[in-house]
Amino acid sequence: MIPVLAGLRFGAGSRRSPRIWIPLPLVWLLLLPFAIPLLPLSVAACLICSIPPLQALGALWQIASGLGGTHIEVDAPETSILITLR
Amino acid sequence: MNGERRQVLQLLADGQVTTDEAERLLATLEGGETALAVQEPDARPARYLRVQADTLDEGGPVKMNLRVPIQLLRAGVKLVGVIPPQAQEHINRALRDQGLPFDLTQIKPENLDEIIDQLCHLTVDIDQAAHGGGEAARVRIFCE
Repeated sequence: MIPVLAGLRFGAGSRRSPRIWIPLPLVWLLLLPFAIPLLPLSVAACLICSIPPLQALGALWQIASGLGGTHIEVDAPETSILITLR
Repeated sequence: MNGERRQVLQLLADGQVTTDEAERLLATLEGGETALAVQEPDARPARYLRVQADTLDEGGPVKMNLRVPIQLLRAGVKLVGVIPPQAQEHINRALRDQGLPFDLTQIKPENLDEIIDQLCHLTVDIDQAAHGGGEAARVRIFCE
């Protein structure tokens, strides 16, 4: 299932930002107007590079679907990053 | 020799199972209840690849915690099939130059599951104590 929520936190030591939760469906909606004109261009680029466009689209969809549950957390004295997808 | 052992050997003789598979089957038969009980936790497929690292460098402690869905790895490996052959050759050459004789063209959908399954059994546990000015580190890589 495609992740619907992204949690982000950046900062360092005591200057950490609070965790921000971003509803991803809103992001997809915002990107949709750009995706529609880009689609034929992407298909053309795939054909030029001899990549099967449908197969590529399927693989990208599977990657997007597989992102749910990803958790990246790095906590160092100089930097702190948290990215979590649900 | 009981009937089940004979059946396994017959499968091996007919070429329906490999020697490794036959060995595993015989071990399961010999282990009986115990072997089945040991295999039970593996029945639930692993969902995530976890990487946990704790290091202590000059600046202070560094902690890293990664959780990568197995589904994402599966999709990533499938993406290899989309790469054009000439690009795969280029990648293979670059890998060879780096001392990694890995052939991307060998990754096929039929052996994809085997690759992921083998990865699910992977466990790496490194515990390095700090000595001689070196850094202490603890790294765990496992599936859950």
